[in-house]
Amino acid sequence: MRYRRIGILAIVALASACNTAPGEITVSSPWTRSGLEGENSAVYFEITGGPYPDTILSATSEIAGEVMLHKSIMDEEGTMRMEHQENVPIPAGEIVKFVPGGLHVMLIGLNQDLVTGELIELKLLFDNAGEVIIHAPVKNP
Amino acid sequence: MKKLRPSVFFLLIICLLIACANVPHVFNGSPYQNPNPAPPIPLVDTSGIPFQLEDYHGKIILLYFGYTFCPDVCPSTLASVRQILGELGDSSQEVVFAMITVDPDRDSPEVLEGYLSRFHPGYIGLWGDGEELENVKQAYGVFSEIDLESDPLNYLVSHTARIFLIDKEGILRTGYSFGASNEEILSDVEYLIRGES
Repeated sequence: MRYRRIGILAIVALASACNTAPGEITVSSPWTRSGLEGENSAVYFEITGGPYPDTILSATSEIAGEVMLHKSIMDEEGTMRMEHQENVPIPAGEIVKFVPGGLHVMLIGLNQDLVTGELIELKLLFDNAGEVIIHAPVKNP
Repeated sequence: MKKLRPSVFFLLIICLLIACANVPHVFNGSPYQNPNPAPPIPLVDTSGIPFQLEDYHGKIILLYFGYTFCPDVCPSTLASVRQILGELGDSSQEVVFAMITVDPDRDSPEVLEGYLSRFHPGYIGLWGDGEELENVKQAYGVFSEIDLESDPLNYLVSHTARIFLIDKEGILRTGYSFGASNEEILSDVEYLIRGES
């Protein structure tokens, strides 16, 4: 009887763990470029999807007047255009890279200088995983 | 099978080496098949002094069209060129980087100077507006336009993101689209520095 209870508890615990699986999304290697108050910058990182697909719904930060999910796209003529992303899908188990010249979180109108070596806080809101706070070190321009 | 005599063998090796040495350098990026002198750039630098390509003959020029409000591609390019100059060490003295702003309304010479100097003290900012800027853009095949879908107060500018390579004689050799590796550009610049052309 006792072992049966432990078994049921174990199954419940396992099920709970599975429910929190979307939270296993990880954000790694964040960084941003230094800049002066009033200027723009961008935040880059890598996201590794969890066992289930998820979606970044928004990015927010106190560091800039406007924070947007963007993607730089080059056309056949070599012209770079910026495309606002309403959201960014993160497929299960896949790595989605936010890199210069590609996906990035755009910081428009910095509220303060971004000084090399300091950290800025950025909040990413995922559809399933909820809010994930990242701290991105500021690198040289 | 008849064996080659050692002297014939070495002669063949030497011929092969000479042949290899004479293979013309093929520039990376999108090289110009019939390279011509780089089109004039009748703009001013951030001190208001008229810029003349002739003043830089003897130097290799990396030329870029961008703007300081650009949050992603331009700063990435400026940082990449800084890395390239770092790789060159002392030879970087033979290389000049210049950025022509495609956003002259917001990029005053002062703004341009302040921005570029934070990437590299040697970067040259070039400014002009109206017809003079349009003529330069057209001559280099550069396109730019304000992104009307972006915030009118904080508008973005879509633009050709290409680095042009001009040799020591002022000949426009090639252009690198965004995404070209530092190694590709470095290889061409080092070739021009060696002066084998």
